[in-house]
Amino acid sequence: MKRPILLILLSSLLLILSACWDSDEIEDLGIIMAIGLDYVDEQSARYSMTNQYVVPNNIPSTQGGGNQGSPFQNLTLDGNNFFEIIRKNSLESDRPPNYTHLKSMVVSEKLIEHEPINKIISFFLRDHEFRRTVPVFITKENVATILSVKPTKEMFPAVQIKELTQNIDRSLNVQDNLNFGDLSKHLSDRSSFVIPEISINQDRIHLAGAGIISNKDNKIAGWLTPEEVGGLKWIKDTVRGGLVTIDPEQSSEDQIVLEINKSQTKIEPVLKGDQLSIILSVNASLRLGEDWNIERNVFKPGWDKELKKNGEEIVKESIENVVSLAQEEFGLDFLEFSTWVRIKQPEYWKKHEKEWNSEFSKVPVIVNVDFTLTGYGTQDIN
Amino acid sequence: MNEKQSSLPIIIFLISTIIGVGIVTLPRQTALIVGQPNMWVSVIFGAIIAFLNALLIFMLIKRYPKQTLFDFAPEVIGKWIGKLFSLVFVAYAISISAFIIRTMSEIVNYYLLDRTPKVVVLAVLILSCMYLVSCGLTNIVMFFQLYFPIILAMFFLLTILSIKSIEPTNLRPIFVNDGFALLKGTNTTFFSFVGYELIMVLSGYQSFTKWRSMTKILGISLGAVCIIYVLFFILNIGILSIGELKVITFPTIEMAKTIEYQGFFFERFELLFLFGWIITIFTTLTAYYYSALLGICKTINCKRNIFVNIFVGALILSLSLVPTGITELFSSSTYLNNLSYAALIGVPFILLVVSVTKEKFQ
Repeated sequence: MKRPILLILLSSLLLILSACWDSDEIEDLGIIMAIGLDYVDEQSARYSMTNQYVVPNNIPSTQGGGNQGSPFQNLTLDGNNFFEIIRKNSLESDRPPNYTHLKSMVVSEKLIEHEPINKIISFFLRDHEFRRTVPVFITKENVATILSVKPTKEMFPAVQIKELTQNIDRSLNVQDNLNFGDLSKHLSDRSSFVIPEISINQDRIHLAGAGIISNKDNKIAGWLTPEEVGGLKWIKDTVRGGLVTIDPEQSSEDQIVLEINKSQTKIEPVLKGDQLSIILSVNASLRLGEDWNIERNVFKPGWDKELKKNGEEIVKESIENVVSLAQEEFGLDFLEFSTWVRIKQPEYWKKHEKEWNSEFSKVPVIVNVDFTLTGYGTQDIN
Repeated sequence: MNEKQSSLPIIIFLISTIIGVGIVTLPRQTALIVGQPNMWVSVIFGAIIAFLNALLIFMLIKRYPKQTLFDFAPEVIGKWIGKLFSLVFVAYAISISAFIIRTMSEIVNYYLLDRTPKVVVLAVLILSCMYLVSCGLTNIVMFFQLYFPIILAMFFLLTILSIKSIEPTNLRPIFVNDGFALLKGTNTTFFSFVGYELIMVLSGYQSFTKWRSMTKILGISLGAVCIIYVLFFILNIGILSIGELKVITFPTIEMAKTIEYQGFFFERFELLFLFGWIITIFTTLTAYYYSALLGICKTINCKRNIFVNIFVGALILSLSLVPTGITELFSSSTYLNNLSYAALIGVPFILLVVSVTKEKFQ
């Protein structure tokens, strides 16, 4: 007789024990996909923040039906700091914002012009809800506008922005995402770096060049065009594919497009006495992709000599262009040469770490590019 | 008890005890002192010193088979000083317990339950520990063996998942280094190996008399922990870089946060890692809790009972609530380190010297 009573008593314990202090029902959360930060500079508020909420009811389900509205809703609010703005969301939305599934963050040019990025980002690094894998983008447009551009393939602009850089192996002008973790690493290493730029092109979100952040004041120092991003990728050894086009102006022939298979860049800082110089050598293997010179006979040995030379020259020029931009125009080492000097010449680095910015501008850089042409495709029309 | 003395349970006991908060906070502490990419070498130095210290302790307990520190200390050095020594060890065990569970509750509050009061998190842990400890050492050792595979699997999984985000440039240069800084770092890394001193308590459960088997036990357990630490150091440095390690409060968890496999179960892996890690905290707490309880009982000559148990639990709980914030908590580790020197090196060394001289004169 005692047993059943005991069992009932024990199971009634479950009623009072099964509780979680911090439980949040998933239906009550306002999942945020993207945040956009902008500068407004008004009397009442200096910054604005756009939160992109998921509207679960408008997500088209596999069964179809019920997808009239937009699956996301942007809330733009002003305030003097970001935490306050986030809490201001509670005045308009019944769901507390949850940032654990944040997909991207967009910062406006105006904001980084006025405020150093380490101050802007510090809240997002301090709060535990933000992951270190959230990519950051910079834009010259209005942030609220760019976050409300209707995405073409994805459901949310946030995802579309993040996924644009997936084509890193398709184009030289696409660079890898810069996420919170990388950003924070650059800030604590006190190095200059670039942030990928997005813009609006014919009502579509468009990956543009990049913004350079100076390590002197952590503000925006200048911009790189998509072509210059290509040069930067060669330097930073992040080329994973893309095309090298030989224009008719650069050679005696009609245009030729080479496709990059594989590429490796080595940076070797050499110390002679007290003079540092940097040897940058690129080794790439390419394939003939498109050839407008129908007469060329690829079965004859030596057909690739001219192409190789012209291609190497083009890449060398684009690298030297970016190096001279960094050294002369900006005087900022966003090429990550400092990493290699630290690794390969630790003694020199210890001595000159403090004045690296000025040292960097004086370092002679020797660029060597070596191409190997491995093939020409399935057919060669003559 | 099993007559055939197997060393595997002891090894598991030691490894489970040693791995604790160090795995989460040590990379930052070491980065602040050493600050160079090859700072994992300091960990190896720390392990060597810990091993030598453990051998010193072994030389002492070898002389008193089947007795714990609390049994032979009064015998060696006189009743009252011996009891004082026992109490130093008890104080050490209680403060280290308080320190680790407070660190754990801070982490739980940061990452998991931000509205649950710290007292509740701490009390839940202490209450369950109280229950386990009241069951005796045999059950504790069994419990450790049960959870050991889970702990190892968690570490293994974290390593596998994060190894692809290592950036080799962060780990270089390896050979160019400031040897002095590495030695200075040893002072910090050494403390993440504490836990082996509990052989002074385990010696009541199993007698340690043979050099060969003991060096094997200590070598395997300290060596395994050393390998795990070095691995985690390399992961931490490789993924986060030295500059970042200096400013991140709990580096290993942030490192786990960089793991991202989209639309997959592991999208938030750090939570899973935390669950595994809390078990290691629990095992460490249990080992020290038991030692403190046993120490008090032997010192005041009573049987282990529920009242002393509650007293120890309350003491640990209230001590763990003393620091007001995380900065104060971390700075209190300096006191803890001094206490560790006393309990780890001071007490066994004095006892050994006295014991040897006594033997000589007789």
